[in-house]
Amino acid sequence: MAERRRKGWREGAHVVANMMIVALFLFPLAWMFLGAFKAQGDLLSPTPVWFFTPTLEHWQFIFENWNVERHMVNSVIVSVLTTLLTLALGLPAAYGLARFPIAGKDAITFEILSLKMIPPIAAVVPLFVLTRQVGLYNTLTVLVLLNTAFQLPFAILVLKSFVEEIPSEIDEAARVDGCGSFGVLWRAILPLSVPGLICCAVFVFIFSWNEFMIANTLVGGDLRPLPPIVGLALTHRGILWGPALALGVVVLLPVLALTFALSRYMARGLTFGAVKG
Amino acid sequence: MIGPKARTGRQGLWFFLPAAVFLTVVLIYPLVYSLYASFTNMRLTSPITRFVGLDTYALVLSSELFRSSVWITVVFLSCAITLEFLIGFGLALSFRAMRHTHPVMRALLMLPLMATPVSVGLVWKLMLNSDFGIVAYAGQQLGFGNILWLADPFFSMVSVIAMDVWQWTPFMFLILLAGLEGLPEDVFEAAEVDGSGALDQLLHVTLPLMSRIIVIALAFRVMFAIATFDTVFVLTKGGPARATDLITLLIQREGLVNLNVALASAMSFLVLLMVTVFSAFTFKKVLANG
Repeated sequence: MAERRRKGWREGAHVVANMMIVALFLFPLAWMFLGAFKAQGDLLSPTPVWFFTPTLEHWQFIFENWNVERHMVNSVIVSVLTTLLTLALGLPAAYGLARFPIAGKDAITFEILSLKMIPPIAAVVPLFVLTRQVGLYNTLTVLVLLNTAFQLPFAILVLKSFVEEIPSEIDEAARVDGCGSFGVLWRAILPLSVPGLICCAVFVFIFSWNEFMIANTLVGGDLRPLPPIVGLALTHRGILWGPALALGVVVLLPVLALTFALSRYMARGLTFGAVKG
Repeated sequence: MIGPKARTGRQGLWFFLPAAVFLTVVLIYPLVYSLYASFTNMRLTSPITRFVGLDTYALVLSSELFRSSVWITVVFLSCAITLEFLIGFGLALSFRAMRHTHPVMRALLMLPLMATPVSVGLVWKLMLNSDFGIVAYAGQQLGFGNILWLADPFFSMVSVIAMDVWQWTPFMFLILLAGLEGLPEDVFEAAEVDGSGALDQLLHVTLPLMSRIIVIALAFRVMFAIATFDTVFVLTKGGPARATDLITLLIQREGLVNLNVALASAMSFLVLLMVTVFSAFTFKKVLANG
């Protein structure tokens, strides 16, 4: 009895401690949300202001001066197309690697992972030169192609881990029904990979939505997606804190919503399928 | 006898081919071009490019800028990742000790990880501001005086590490918690019956069982951490006085601001070489046992 009560106490302590830590981790995001609605004076006050009359002036400012709708549309176009292209290339590749006796399969898997290990900046410098030569500099196409290239290794490995979990009897059954290899992919693997595709899609969408370096380097002006605009707010005549925070929140909101939705797939996606969450 | 519907490696390659061609054209070709550029003196500000052999590499290796950036990156990686691992593991153990899984708390902890890096850099820049930042205010209230978080070389490194720990501890936490939840329950019960204490159990049961997951988590974290750019670019831009000038920031400045493509390419390949050596040691093992 005393033993059980002690265990109950200990668990209670863990719950309280964990809640406090979660709150601590959420604080910077909460502070950003608050800041986006604070008047300039409250925002720059040396003592933190907790209670204030919310204002929409920064929001008005960014929509009037920074053409936010335009950049948001760019972000949506790039992220959606990147996600579709990545899945369209990634699922067949994952199926090929998971289901066929390809020679040197482990070596190929390792090479794919190595591609993901390349810091993007290493590719961005030559691309800065090359995209000008082929006329893709300053187009949304180049952002879709590059984001896809950066996310594809991840997608192949995650989807491969999902495809490997589909029992191969299902392939055999489809083959008995007269499906060829492509038919198996289309009629058996694709419908059964939906959870994997969703996991992958949300990750790829968020990563390309968040992407800053390529977007900041290879496109300019009206074609820029949202993250480089946040960067712009920072150097532009010092820092316009209010509008910068409002814009930071605009970029962040869809990501936070999606993250909430995909939370249970997270551990698995983060290790490219190496850890089953 | 191979029937008409048998699966052959060649058939599999056809499915793999579109992705392979795409990656070759969009990613591998630029890297090969960059490798070529690293053996020249290519600058976008000069019309003449000629082959210079290993001269650019010699220049990079003897450059104080490059060496100090490598050192700064190593300090950043080791401090940040150690802290992320310790806090993440502690938190995962603490979550595991709760009877319910609390999916909402777990989902909330993922937010820093997925948050847009430029927004993360922005809010940390606000919080660490020495005139009106809440961290500076808290420091003053606690009697640390007015710490110039982003203007002092030492504290700006501390700031960059703190921001990274905030952003990436959830990564360690999630992977390690997934690992802990996959451990067989009876091992812990057996240990409890044996009467071993909590520390004993951690050292002799949990850690050995978790070793593969821990290696995976650390290897992935190192891999992502080397590419760290956006958050630090927004928070400090490598300053003050290059105190937080990570290797990625240096390459970006050389290549895209100074337009010295040859130098930036050579630096990139030296970094790639280090990453490859590192990954050859860790990932091959991890994947082989996967």
